[in-house]
Amino acid sequence: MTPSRLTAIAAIAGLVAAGLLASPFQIVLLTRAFVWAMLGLSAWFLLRVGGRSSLGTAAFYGVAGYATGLSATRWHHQNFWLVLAISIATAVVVGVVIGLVSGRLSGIHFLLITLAFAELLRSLSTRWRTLGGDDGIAGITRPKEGLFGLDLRQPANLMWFTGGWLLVVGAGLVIVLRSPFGAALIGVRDSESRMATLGYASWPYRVAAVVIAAGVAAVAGTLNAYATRFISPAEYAPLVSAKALLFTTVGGVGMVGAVIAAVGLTVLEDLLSSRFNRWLLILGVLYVAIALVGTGHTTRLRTMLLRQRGGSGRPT
Amino acid sequence: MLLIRSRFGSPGPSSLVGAISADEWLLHTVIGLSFGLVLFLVASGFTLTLGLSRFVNLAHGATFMVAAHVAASVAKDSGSYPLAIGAATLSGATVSVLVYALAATRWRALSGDGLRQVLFSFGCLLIIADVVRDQWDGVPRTMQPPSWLSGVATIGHVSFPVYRFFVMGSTTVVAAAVWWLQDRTRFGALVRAGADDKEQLEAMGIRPQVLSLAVFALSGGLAGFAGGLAAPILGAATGQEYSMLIFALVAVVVGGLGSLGGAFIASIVVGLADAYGKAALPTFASFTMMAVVIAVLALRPGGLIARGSVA
Repeated sequence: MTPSRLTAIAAIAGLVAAGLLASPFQIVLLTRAFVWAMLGLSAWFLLRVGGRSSLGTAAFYGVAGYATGLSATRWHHQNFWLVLAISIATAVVVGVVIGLVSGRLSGIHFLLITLAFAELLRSLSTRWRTLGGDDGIAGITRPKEGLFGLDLRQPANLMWFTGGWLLVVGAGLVIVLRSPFGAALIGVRDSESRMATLGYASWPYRVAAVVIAAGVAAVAGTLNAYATRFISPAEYAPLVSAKALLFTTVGGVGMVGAVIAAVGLTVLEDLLSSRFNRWLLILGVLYVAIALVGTGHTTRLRTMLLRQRGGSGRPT
Repeated sequence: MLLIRSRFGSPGPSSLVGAISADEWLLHTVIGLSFGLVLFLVASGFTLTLGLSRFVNLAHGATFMVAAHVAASVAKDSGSYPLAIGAATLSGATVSVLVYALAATRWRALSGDGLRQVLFSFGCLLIIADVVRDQWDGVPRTMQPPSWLSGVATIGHVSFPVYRFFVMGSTTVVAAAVWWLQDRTRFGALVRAGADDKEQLEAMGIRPQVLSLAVFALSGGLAGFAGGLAAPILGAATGQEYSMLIFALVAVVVGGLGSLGGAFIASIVVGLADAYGKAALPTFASFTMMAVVIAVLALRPGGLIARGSVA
């Protein structure tokens, strides 16, 4: 644990230093990087603890973003905590549905079905006029007060607030992991049959893993809606989920790695996209290169993703 | 997504389920069947590479998109419909083969590693989509059906575009050919054998790489043919790389991974659910699709026809 704890402390120190030195433009960039890091954590949890890779992170992120947008513009809620609660609750409902439907799926099945759900939600948001259709919801006002009288209308304050939430979410996931509940989650991931012998039904844990990932992505979605003050069907884009998964893959097995990868790649993407028009092409090449060249981490993943739980291990 | 909606969906104002007449149901059935059959060609290509090479090709929708653009351009420049369809099929096969060739450079790392395949093929999707956006300026293209197919057939009180019947007919023929190829030929036997035991196949003197190459070409060719054939209905537009992929994924997962028969049934179900959903509840059409997915997976987690062993 010590090396990873050291990495975590170094990472926090680095981010704090970056935050202190940041220019107004970089403040916006760092806020976005923190949001992406939270999405990375959501995908990380589902992959490493739930044992299933998801392309549905965007579903929770988008639903929470829309919940925030509606709360702020239609229902005129100014209380951050209330809005956050509404967003998380909405995402959890979606998480429960997806978790229950895909409960017995794993591997590629799970990946495909989560992707399909995110896309169907996206198509719903483009067609539903109440949600603004293709135009989305603009003019989301930031709450005056978040925590300790922090005025979130100030970009720098929002950045620190988002960074703080990243820490809270990370710490929360560690607490979950170290609890008996977390041990049961890992038990279900590693061997469903053994857990069954011990008297644990696996499905509540499989749904719970999805729901926790949904909650984490919902925090990211809410903070992103406040940061950009705008929400559109693009939040549901498959690229969002794919990036979250990419961060997890690049970052290795650990939680801190996913965060570092998310922050690093977000900054890199910003550098590239400001210099080149066709940054999607560059991003695509980056994906292909990582998939073809990447070593170590991803090979360890193989056992995780393609472990034959859903295939041969399915109860008959 | 939107383009598919507006072109495949009913042009009329939103109405409630009860307000749809029998004639309209017939119309939407034809719309749903023709889309479902096109979808099957795309889904079967996805299933083929997944079944034989255990390869998750998320770039499959992008292959469809390339072919649709090629068909629209060739039809406009040459005025020849058969040439446009041929070019579309060929372009689809080429794109798919290129994806395979790139994957083959590190096949050892990719095979058996689903997450890597997802990253790899998603990267290919981004690259292909960006090239198409660059080549065709991101402007949606339309394609005219050939004059001998552009008429309207009236059955009862409803007018059906003849082209849709042509789509249904030709996709059915191709679907039958795919089934025959898979089930009745030596090539199909090799493909099925390769899916089950690659080492045995290799021991018999058959190079799995060549077989994989052929399957990728076939897979891309099917998507290409579908893209060309559907271009007069769906047009060619960016966004299809995702929309067609999602429809195909739903069909493949609902049908049961690796099962052509399942994919066929599921494609028809998805096509009809989509058409009826758009007719009855235009705004919430995607919910009808979700309902299909939820209902099928709740009752049969392995899909309609579960083969079991495909992970």
